[in-house]
Amino acid sequence: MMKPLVILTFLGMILSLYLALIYAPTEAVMGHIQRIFYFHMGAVWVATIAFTVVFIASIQYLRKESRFWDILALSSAEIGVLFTTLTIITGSIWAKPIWGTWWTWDPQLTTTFILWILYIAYLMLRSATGSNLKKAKFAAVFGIIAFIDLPLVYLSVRLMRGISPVVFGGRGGGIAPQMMVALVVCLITFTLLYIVLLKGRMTIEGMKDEVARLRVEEME
Amino acid sequence: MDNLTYLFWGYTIFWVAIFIYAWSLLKKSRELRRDIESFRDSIFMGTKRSDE
Repeated sequence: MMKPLVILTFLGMILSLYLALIYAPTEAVMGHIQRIFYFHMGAVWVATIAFTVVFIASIQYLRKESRFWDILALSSAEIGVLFTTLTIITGSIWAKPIWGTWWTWDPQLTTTFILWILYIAYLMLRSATGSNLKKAKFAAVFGIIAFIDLPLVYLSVRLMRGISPVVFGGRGGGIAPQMMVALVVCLITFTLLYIVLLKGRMTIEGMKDEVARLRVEEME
Repeated sequence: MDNLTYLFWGYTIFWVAIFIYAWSLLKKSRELRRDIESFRDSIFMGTKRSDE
């Protein structure tokens, strides 16, 4: 089941690169650097899905105490942190030629930075020593609370005065149809990539459990 | 640096990070698979010896 999905994701990546770098027209004001937007948005999209999954899985874990939900939350948080890191990096690379600075404490950037720190703390909590059950429960509560910051990232750019551009809705004027095609394909590809990485990460966690079980069995 | 250089580094960093993460998952998965097989062999041998 995994192999066709991996192949599809790989083909999607090649198509996304073509659409973002060649097919989409060059933006009139920003020039070529605007092309980073397609992958930056892809990273934002995956981070949003990933942290939403952490939130749902954490609630489910507290309700059912099933290891599946715990593994899902942990795996999704790790991928979310990776893509938030990429969001911050690609955003900074875009900001330097456009704003003239790598970073500014704009409301959206600040809330994104806080989100990143929160989920790094979540992963640190997961890797700390101690009772696995207690850690999982505490992490689930943390995963639910940390999620509060996610809507703030989206609302901050619309409700507070900042310099981050709003592309869709609000003050935004939307984008050209060819740009929209490139963006939609990128978002679909990144969703597939998220599924592939999530499945891979969850399999590893399942294998770790199996190793722990076999170690006990061997000692007996 | 011009716009294209920034764009190049943006995409390069992006894909390198994704590939490193995917590769680390594959590597870890292979290591764990080896561990599981060796534990299973060791348990099987132990069971066999106790039967004899």
